[in-house]
Amino acid sequence: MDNNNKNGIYSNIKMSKRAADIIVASIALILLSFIMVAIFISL
Amino acid sequence: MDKKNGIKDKISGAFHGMGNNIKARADKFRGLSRDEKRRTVTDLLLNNAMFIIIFLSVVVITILQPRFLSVASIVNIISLTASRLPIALGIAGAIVLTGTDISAGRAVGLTACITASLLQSAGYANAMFPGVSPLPIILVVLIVCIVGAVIGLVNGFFVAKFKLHPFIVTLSTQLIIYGIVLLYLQIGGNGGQTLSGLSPKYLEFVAGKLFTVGGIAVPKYVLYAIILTVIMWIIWNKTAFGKNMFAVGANEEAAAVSGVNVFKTVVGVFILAGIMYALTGFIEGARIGSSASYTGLNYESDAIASCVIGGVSFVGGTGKIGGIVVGVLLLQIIFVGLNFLSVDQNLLYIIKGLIILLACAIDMRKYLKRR
Repeated sequence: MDNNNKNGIYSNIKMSKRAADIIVASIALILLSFIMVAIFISL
Repeated sequence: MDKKNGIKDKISGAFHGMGNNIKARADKFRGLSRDEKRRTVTDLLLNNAMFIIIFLSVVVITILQPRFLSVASIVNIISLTASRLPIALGIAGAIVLTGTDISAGRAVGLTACITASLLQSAGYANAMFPGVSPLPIILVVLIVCIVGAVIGLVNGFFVAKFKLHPFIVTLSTQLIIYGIVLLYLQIGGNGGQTLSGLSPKYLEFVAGKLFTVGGIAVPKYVLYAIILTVIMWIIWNKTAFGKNMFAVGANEEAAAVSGVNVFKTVVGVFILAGIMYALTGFIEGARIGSSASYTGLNYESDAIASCVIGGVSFVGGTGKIGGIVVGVLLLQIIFVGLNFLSVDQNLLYIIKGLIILLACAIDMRKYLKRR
């Protein structure tokens, strides 16, 4: 379904696309490294 | 023979079409400027970051423990997915309405305990109601569905009538439900203990063998999860109630102006969610083989994570049943995989939290682009 929400929870965020990219990439890298660390600790 | 050739033509046509599509995309990509190419690749990587991470983790887990891809393990993943699917399908409705429901796990716990208490074997020494025969299964399903619906009605009423955020409403109801569970477990001869000694009929009805794959039994609740998924798909996509739910989630004021009864829709979504939690509780009781006050603890966090991974956005008015199924499946794959390697349970909480955070960040980034 298309979203027409103009009052959604993200509507007031003032952030550049680049900043959002960096945030998402950082969390993704933290998650990936955490999973890998957890896997290798268990060995 | 003609029919066989027809199917062959269709398959080769589909592959041909897919090949053409990929070729056209590749040609389009080549025609882009350097900056546009970089943005396209970044979008592709970041929008699919969760899937990439889960895929990489599965590859590493499979290399370290090849049994992860055995039939037994795959059946286990499918069974766990089936048991967690109804709660995710219920909570998804609340998320579509830009809300959430953190009472879901406790509602599962309460309904699991009620189910177990009503379906304990008559001769069980520590039965909650000693000497009472187990009730008919269909009656118990009806009772727990009513309990779930009442929980949903309370949540929905306060959200719709007082315009409260579902977070605070469901926070209070989860505490109330937990209190009720603890009190309920004190009834009769139980004395707060875990409810076990369940009727074999109930265990057979829920966790009995549906069919076997490679010598491994697939439980019946997989079929029930499929039926519930189909029902929810029909409700979401083919009924006026489903359309109204998306309309209210996307823009409440616009929906109200268009003649949608917002109150009825919100209450209906929460009641439906409550029934789904009740059915999860009914399944969980038999799947685990016992019920206690901690049954259902943190189930809502898994369900919310599954929904967000599956594309049910917190921005409201967005989501697909298929996405939720994929979300639940992916989450189970990663956690079954990590359990396979005996990863510390404490670390799993951190991983779960990071998964939700990443899913929300990806979601935020997608909607940021549109402005």
